[in-house]
Amino acid sequence: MRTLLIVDDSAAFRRQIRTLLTGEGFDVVGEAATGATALVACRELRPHLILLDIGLPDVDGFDLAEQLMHETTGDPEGRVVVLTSSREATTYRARLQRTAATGFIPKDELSGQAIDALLAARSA
Amino acid sequence: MRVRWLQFAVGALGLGFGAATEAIQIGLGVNAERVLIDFVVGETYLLGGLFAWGRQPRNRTWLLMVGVGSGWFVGNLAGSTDPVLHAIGIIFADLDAIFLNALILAYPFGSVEGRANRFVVATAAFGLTAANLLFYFTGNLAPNLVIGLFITAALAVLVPRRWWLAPPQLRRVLGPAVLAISVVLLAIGIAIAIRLIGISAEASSVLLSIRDIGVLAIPIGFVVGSFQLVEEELRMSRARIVEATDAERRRLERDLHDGAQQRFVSLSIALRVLRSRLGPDVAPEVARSMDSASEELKAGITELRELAHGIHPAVLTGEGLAGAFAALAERSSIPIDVICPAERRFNPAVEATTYFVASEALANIEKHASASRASITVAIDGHRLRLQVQDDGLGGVDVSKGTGIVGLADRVSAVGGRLDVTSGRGRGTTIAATIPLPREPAARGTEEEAGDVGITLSSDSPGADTMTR
Repeated sequence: MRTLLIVDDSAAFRRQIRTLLTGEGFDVVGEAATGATALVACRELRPHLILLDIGLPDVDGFDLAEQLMHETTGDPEGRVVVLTSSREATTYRARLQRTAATGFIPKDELSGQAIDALLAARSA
Repeated sequence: MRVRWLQFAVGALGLGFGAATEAIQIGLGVNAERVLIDFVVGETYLLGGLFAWGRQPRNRTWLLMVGVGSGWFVGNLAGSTDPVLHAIGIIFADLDAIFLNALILAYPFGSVEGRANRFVVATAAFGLTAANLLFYFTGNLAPNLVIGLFITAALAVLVPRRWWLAPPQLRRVLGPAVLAISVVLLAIGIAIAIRLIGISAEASSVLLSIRDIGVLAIPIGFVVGSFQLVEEELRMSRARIVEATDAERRRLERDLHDGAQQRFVSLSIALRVLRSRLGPDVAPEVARSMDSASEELKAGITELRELAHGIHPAVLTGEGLAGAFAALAERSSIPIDVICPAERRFNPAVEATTYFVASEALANIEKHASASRASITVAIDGHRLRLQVQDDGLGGVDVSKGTGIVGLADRVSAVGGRLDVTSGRGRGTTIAATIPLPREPAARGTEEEAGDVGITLSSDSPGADTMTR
């Protein structure tokens, strides 16, 4: 089962997405509300996947994605960091082109299927 | 109303006093032309000061101008046969110079700031009066000349220095002070030329006329300057309103995003969880209701997103004009070519103004122009940003009809820029905005600043919402 860490400052969103993705076969091993706790959680839990909200209160989501990509991972093929936001992709166009993160999915389109599609597109 | 009467009273008193002192000069046999010029210069200061009083009563520039005008005539009293008036005329002969010195250094805000400026004003006031007192009793003019030279030299350093350090908006208004010191220096130069070098009477009369024109130009300069100051203050207050409005819009967009939009998104996920938990055996009407609730919510999220984007596009805050225009092009119903310096960032007011001009122009093109294509071009030309939005549509836009373009022109002029619309019937429309770039203390990226490398983006197909790499 793929392990997942959810990083988002909204507790309501973390609760909902945890329920949704658990139902779709993900093992949610942790949640973090800030960039600082996300880094600690990532080192301790070594999740395969990190779902990362771009608009965190303490750090820029793109900077954090950069750091998280370089942390050791439970997956030999490397870490997957999926950026998300309730804003649409066009808001972050240049930064999404530059980011080291795996990809971006808007919050209202998040699902196990969307994540799988993203990973399939990446390896294609 | 009382101020109006007071102005009339001071004006009448000034005219009477000036005329009376000039009469003394005529009695002494001074050339009538010189007397007339002397009268006109003094009265121009006085009446100009009263005029400035009416326009900007709280700015004490007017008081200093009235001081120069009144002081101008005091020296004429030295020619009086009355011993008291004669003494006053000699001791206070430089009252006009004292006030003029303060006027130049206090301009345009009407108060003398800084230790050096205050020292020069105090030296002029006390030094010149003391020197004239000495002259009255001993006939020694040397101290007066030394102090006069010192003050002139100080002005010749302080005024250009102030002009040099002033922000561009203030520079435009400082003109009269620069003019005044130039004229003072010119007058001194002419005086030295006449007295020391000894030139012909004809040439010296020409030089004196030049000096008189220059001296007359000073008060007129200050009156014109007070007009400019009012205009500049108005423009600055409009710029502050625009900046405050932009900040408020950014805050509103953030609040919408962090609040309602987040809740709706969480709700939509909750509905999806619920739908999947209920499984395939759920009653058809329940399934229909849930699907329709999901659809409604999805539409609501999209509408809210559009609303927030219309208030202030987050992409503009995050990625500047290049990103915001690329996003604008993607949303457009016709193909838009965007040429914009990549990655370069400007002052938020400049970015917001440029963006709103382009997006409003584009909205008009989509609604009215029947264009097949349009372009947005941003170019940097020295300290100016030039925006051009062009379409190949019907043209023939009448600027006087509709408030859209007038509103845009107002917004551009609030940041000190100008808007031009060219629209020939059948030849498309070009909207060009020129916006001055404020000089910023430190550039965010010098490499980016140095190279104005344009990127071109075309949007013939809308971008996918999910991106991969």
